[in-house]
Amino acid sequence: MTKFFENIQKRLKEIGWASWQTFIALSVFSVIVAGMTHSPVQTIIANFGWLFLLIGVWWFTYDSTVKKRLTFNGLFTGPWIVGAIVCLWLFGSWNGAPTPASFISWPPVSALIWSVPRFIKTDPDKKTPTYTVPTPAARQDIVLMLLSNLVISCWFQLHFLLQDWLVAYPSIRSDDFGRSAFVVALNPQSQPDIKGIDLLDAAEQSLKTRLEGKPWGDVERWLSPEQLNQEIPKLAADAHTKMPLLSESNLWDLRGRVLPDTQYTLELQAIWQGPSAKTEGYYITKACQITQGRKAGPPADFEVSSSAGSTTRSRAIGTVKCEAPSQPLPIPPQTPT
Amino acid sequence: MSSFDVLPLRAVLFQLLFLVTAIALESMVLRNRLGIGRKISIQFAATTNLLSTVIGWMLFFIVEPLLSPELRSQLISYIFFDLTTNPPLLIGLAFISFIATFLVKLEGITWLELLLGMKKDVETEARATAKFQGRRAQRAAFATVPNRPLAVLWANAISFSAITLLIGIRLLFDQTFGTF
Repeated sequence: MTKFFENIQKRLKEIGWASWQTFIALSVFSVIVAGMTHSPVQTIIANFGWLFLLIGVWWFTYDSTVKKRLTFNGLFTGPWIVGAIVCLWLFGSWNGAPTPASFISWPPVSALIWSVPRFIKTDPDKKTPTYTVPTPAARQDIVLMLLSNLVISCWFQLHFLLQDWLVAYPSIRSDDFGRSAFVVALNPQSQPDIKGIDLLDAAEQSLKTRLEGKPWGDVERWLSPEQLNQEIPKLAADAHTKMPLLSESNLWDLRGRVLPDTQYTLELQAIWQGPSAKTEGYYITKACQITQGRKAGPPADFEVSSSAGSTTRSRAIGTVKCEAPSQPLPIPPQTPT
Repeated sequence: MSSFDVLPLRAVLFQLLFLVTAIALESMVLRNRLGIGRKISIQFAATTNLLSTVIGWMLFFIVEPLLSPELRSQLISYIFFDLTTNPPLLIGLAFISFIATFLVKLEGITWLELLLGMKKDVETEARATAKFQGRRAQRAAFATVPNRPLAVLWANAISFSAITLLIGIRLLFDQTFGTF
């Protein structure tokens, strides 16, 4: 056991104090201390932890053997490792994945770190590093490195813009991206989240509160073509209030019609008016059977008078029964309804 | 946290293809028309093309949040489904970007020369010497002195034509073989 500690001691002496290991150790130490303290002090210590980590890793990557390992095709990738730490420090979060800001800033920050050695030369007399203006060739390299990394960060930005769109318009995801010149869907089988289905479900709820249990005469009046034209927009407005607050919600239009030659099959249509792979857009339908149900009339004493009277007296009321929503259907060039 | 389900990989690949094409063609045009070395011509072409790409993306990201829902919907259709719902707008934008990239490239070469501390360019030197040789010599000098804006315009026109051709080939493939 003592030999083990002696070994460590020996190792430490070989490494010396001025080394990258010192800074990594300081960083670990800072993290431990930060874990034991509270808010204002904790932030300061945590920042020191990042700083030590940054210096340690930077030192480590410029170690000659490590530098050789990290060089591919003449390009030294160390600055991108250091850059990742800088961006995580500045924009990342402790307990989550890197934030979009840290992704986007990573390439240009790394390019700047890459160019730092080109601004430094060793002073011939004092053997200390001093500032120098890079040579023209180095200046050209810096410009190209910075610009190409900016292009990469634009690609990251594009990626996050696409994600924002997919969040705002979830129904896009249900379509096929095969024709796109920009994007690839890695997991096409994932469950599409079509908000039109939610709209139809909300409309069904509103329809039931309007018609279920209402006298049949009122129900028939509600379903008459003139009245329906006025009622459907109200139903749609009602259903829209139950939708989540998304940009996409306004792009779903709700329409309804009584199918011809039926004793009231109300077909509700959610029509997608947003971006779609199908040129004319698509729609989802939900058929609702509205039938006459019977509710027993006021009981007891009336029942006595006659058996024929009981049928007239037990009131006819509306019942609503809806099917599951259909698959998305392409809209034919002439729009239905 | 955002997912990595949908990636703009095709956009990246197309952009790389277009950049390589443009840099190769433009450096050739610049070398022939300006009588400069191979290395410098590639430096010019690479720097100016990367610069105009970055500026283009920046403008896109600045303008995108300002779009009306209608225009954004068209943009999304174009990006996700390759549907050109508004061809006049697309052609107009292509025209504007041609002019804009030309100006950026012309200015970019001047900035790059300043940054690299290159010697005064051949054109002004030739003009200056022509000044002392009387009017006839000056007129003759115009014919032989390389005209930089014209060279950049040619370079830009050729790279744009090549990229248009590539887009056309992609559309053709798309129509004959379905998905690309």
